[in-house]
Amino acid sequence: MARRPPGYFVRQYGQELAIVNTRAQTVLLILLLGLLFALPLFLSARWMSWFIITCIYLIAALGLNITIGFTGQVSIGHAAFMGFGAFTGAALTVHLQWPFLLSLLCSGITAAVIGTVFSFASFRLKGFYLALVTIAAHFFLHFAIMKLPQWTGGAYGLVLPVPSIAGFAFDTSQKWFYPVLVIALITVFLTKNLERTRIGKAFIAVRDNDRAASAVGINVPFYKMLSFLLGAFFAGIAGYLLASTYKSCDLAYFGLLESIWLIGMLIVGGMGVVTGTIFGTVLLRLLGFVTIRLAPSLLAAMPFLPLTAATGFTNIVFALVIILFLIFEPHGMNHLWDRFKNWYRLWPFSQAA
Amino acid sequence: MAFVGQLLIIGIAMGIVYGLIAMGFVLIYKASGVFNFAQAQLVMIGAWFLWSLLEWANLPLVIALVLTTVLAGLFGWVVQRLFLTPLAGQPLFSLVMITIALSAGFDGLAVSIWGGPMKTYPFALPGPESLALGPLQIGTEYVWVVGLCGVALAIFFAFFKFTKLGLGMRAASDNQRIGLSCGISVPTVFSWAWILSAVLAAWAGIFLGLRLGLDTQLHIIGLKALPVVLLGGLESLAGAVIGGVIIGLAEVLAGAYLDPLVGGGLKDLFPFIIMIIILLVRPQGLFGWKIIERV
Repeated sequence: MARRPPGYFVRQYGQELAIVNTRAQTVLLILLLGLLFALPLFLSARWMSWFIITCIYLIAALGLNITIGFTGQVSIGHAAFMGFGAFTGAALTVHLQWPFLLSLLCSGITAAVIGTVFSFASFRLKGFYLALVTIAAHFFLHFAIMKLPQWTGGAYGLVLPVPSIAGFAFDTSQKWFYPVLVIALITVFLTKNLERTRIGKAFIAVRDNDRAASAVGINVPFYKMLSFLLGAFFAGIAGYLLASTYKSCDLAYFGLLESIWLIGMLIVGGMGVVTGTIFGTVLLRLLGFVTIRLAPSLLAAMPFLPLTAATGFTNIVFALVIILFLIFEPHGMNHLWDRFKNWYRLWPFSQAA
Repeated sequence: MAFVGQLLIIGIAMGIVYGLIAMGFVLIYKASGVFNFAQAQLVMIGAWFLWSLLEWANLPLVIALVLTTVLAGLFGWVVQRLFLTPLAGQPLFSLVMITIALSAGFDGLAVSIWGGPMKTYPFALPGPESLALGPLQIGTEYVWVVGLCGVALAIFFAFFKFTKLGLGMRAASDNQRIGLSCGISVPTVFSWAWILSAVLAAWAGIFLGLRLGLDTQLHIIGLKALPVVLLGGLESLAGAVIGGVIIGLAEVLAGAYLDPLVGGGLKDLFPFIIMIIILLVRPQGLFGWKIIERV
């Protein structure tokens, strides 16, 4: 699949690695960034909150992409890592009055440590055995939260204050939009950059064939551990941002279902590719938004259903979308987009890609 | 002493229920190599089928039970045909992801149709509330569960050893190509694995529903069957039951003796701790096949 437009040839290694190649791409990127930063001017409040939460889930999904997409380590415990980070940061903010940025960093670090602990299982296990161990992470989170109610609020969770940096309080969603967007953009850049660094290439080698990677001299257990560490770090950051957005930290935000949604975002978007993760996150979040908006009309049309059917519909549609993608387009939306790009670049001579 | 005996009885009985659920996992894995993450949801849906037939269709109990068995089998068959057959040649990750997606989808389905407050079955098992065995009391449904499980195990043992379909399933699970060339219809084998699995799950669900009440959270108990499957070994039906009994006992004993030390909550976590230890120390479980691929 062509990543660069036809007619553009690389002559140096630096050019080959570059993320943005032509001047046209640079201009488009600047326009896109400008558009993103200008969004609060014309988005409604509902879409603003949707966008903020989508950015947060994007950060978590990018972390999961490092673990599953780059390194091939199946992890269904990502929301639990988010939870560990979120509760740590929330406890620091609420009980010790630590500043926002420091709590953010600590939530990332805590989640990274927890991720590292679970990575030890990946040294011995693969595939769905590893997946089963990571599912257990949710039960550990539940246990830890219930055991420390004086720090975590137990079943009730914690109530967070308005996030603020150096006295500037982000009390409206227009103001809160910017830190979240900046962190999300930094995460996108970091993970895209990771692909082309030595570490990223080691990850991909471990994914493709870990015995061959080890034969070439890559320290496979170390890189497996690193992938969990980095993935969980971003999860922790995302978790704390989520808690700050909702102004509350509750176990319900970090359940097995959320982990499954995150994996779904990777599958729908395209596993292992950063732009794929962005596609997948945006698409599934849009889906959630649309089904929640449609739920009242559906309930009115079928009044014999219980009221809980609203959340039920969202999950049913989500499952159907993932299944459709797995059956018809297992490489995700990113692959569809690549095929489309090839089609229009070669038009009118486009063959089936 | 009687307290410990009571604990053991409860542990063994709950363990046998877990074992029933685990047998469903093992059946599907044995036949097709797919680990069915949606098994817990099949348990829940089977339980709700019976409730719906009793509450909404007002059928008499025996007819409802038979119909539930049939419907559960049909549901398993539909799921297998509709969602798993299209992915026939794909890597295992896709198949596992589909079952994970199905588990989320079935959760949503159950919440949509049967959501709301907890319900109970409008019937009780015949016979006294509990039988007395010396100084111990055994709840009657436990006796029924043990009896059912014994019957199920005996039927499956005979099925896999003596019937053409059963032998075919074992052959196909060992090596699909050779099974095909011997004339065994692999799609039929897969379908039957899912049908039988769903029926087992439904019956386990009915007992759980009798014991604990019907809820859309019933699948969380099904999740506890995962450690059972791994302990027993993914390829062994008897191992599933034995593993179930061990995990059931461990859970109950942990609840009685370890929980007071830690202040509660360890009871639910303990099976998963066992699971992690098993996976790290002996991934094939007690009776599973020792395949190099696991590590």
